[in-house]
Amino acid sequence: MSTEAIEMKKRKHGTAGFSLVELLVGTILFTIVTGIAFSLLMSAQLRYQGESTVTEAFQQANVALDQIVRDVHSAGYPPMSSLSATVANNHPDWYALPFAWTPNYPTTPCTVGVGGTCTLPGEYDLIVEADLGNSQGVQWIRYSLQTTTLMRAVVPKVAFKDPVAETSGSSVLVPYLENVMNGSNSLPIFSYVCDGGATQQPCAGGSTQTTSTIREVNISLMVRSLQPDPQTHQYRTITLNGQAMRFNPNQ
Amino acid sequence: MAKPCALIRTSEENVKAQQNRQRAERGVALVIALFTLMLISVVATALILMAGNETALKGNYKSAMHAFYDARAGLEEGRGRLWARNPNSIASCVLPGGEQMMPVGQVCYILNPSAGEVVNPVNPLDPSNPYADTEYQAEWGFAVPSGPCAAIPTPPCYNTVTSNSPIASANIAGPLYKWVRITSRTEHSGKINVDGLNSDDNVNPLFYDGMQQLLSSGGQPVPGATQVLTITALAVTPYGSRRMVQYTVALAGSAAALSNFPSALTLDGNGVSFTGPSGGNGGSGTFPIVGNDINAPSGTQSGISAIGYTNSSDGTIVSSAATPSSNYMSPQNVPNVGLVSLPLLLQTPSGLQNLVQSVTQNADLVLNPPQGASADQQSLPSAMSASNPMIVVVNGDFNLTHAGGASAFTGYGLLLVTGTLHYDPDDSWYGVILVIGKGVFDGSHPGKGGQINGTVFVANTTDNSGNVLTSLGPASFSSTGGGNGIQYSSNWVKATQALLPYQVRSFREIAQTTP
Repeated sequence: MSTEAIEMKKRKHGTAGFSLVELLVGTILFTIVTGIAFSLLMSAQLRYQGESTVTEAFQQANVALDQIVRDVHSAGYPPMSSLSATVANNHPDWYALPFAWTPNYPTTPCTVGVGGTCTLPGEYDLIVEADLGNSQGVQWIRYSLQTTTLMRAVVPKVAFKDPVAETSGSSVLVPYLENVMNGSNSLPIFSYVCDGGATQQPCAGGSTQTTSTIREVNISLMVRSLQPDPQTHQYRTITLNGQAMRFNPNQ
Repeated sequence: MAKPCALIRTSEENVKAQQNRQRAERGVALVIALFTLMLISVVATALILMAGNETALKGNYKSAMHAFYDARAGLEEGRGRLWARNPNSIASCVLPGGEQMMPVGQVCYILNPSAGEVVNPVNPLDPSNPYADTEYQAEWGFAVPSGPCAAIPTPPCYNTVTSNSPIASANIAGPLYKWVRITSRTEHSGKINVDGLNSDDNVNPLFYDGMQQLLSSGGQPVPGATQVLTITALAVTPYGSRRMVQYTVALAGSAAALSNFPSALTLDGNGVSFTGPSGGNGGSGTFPIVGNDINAPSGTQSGISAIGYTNSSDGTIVSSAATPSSNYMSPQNVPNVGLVSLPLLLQTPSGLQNLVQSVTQNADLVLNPPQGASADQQSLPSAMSASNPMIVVVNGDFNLTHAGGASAFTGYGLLLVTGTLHYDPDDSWYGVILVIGKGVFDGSHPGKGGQINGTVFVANTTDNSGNVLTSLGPASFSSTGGGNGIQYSSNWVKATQALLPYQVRSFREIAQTTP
């Protein structure tokens, strides 16, 4: 073989492309790299979906918490002292007590907190009395947890009527926030702080700790995501805490 | 020999071959790099989106809370500056003509623009005005006044003052509320039916007597009550959150009770006793009690009874003890000694205890002498003066007897004693003296030259153990004479009333939409 032929062969060999082994190795490597890339991409996508559902639940809980806080802020508006004493006696629906209660509303105040005589306000049930400025006058605004749904009712206050009965109808007590897990986790939604002389202290059923002494309502909402996490297939829960002060003074 | 070099690759050819190989591999690197980059981009974008979402949620919440508390800060500035003792009092904005009450249609704004900003709440017709006071129309049913008040205001008109919350020297911007509006309050503006008769009265301002709101009539203040004012504040944050909140305020209930005493010496309760100087002349003076207002305009006569009692059964005892009548003077057509009516707050032990509590909460000094001991004037603040009257509460007995060998003492302001008040007629007090609790005023000390300028009120609300009675007991006043007695002074009563701050009667938030 002439040197020319040898050279030509070498040249052909140099331009012959990948060998089978190279191609296989390259393909395998490419597959592995793209596989990793896509699996990471998929993982990120699933994570994004999971976070989105949590964010949505968070957003809904946030709106509910904000509304409860606003309602408590206005609790007791307008107060009894806004009216002359005679008118107030004859028209109790024209003024707002801060919070309605049961039993014996409105004749005999009950005591709030563990060991108290109130069944409402309770850890999962609260009725605020306030004029929200929507031309409906004084209203009862009720928040009540039923299984995993926080219900809300807004009805006009009616003189000499029971607020619990008035806010219990299925047409008025409507779902407000779904997937609330406080009940199954024994986490109270509402806990109360009462006026007590110079200081405030948690309402603990003391004889003077009636609903009219509730100064703060601490709110905890444990909310489960609407969909299970796509990666773990578990529902995720978030807990939002808020503090609502009653600004209207005792009257 | 033609191609000897063809068999051997030159170094140049080697380099070329290597470059070819590298060029061939460069394509794979690019693809891998692109995929990696894409992967990282997707993950990063997802993270940024999630973080941005969370940040926006938290930011919205923070901004809304910021606006809410800024608005409340505005309310508090308004309430604080209504107080006459506030060094930045806005009395000239609220009552520019020194009127007794703020009329309907008169508005006071506290403006708080940020640097370079114009806040003009009285131009609601301009849709580009972000801080227009559109709420005024919603409350009152007519447009916010467009013209400023004259020195003697003729409503509708408005006044403005600037906020004093920013501290320019310290580069502190202060809360971001835009304006605070102070107005009177009517049934219509408050959307309440105070008297149960006419729910839409938009003419007569409301008053507060310490327990209830009352409707005035004929543009006249309600006796024994103070005017209810409405304070509204708007806050807007740089992020666009808007919150509007509203107080109704009135002077502390105790101030309302102090606003209209019916007599220079009032004995409140049942079975009260009055013992004056025997024969009208006790030693160095007669201890006169005069209901004529020493501050009445010259040439005019006004005032109240010299001595008032609240239970008609006590009339004979008190009247027969108050002799000679020349010592107990009052204006014409006003009985020197007579039956008087009091505001609701002063009619019951519980109401009076609330009054004591309210005064105590606002006191400059609270003295708690040990059981069996008395406090005296040596414990009173040296800063107390005619230009700086104070509120002093003594939970127990008090000796206004220039004890400790001191010279005659003069006090100013509101003195509340829950035990026995021992009074030496050498000493003087300008203002109001309340003896509520044990309800004993003991003036059996020799002395002369002193005088009580203002008014004295005595009520027995507790038993000897300090328990609150179910009904008022026998308040007691005694004097063995000496000194210049009690002289009613409406100016000192008003000055004492002004010591008490405005208190919040109600709060509400007004829903806002971004304009």
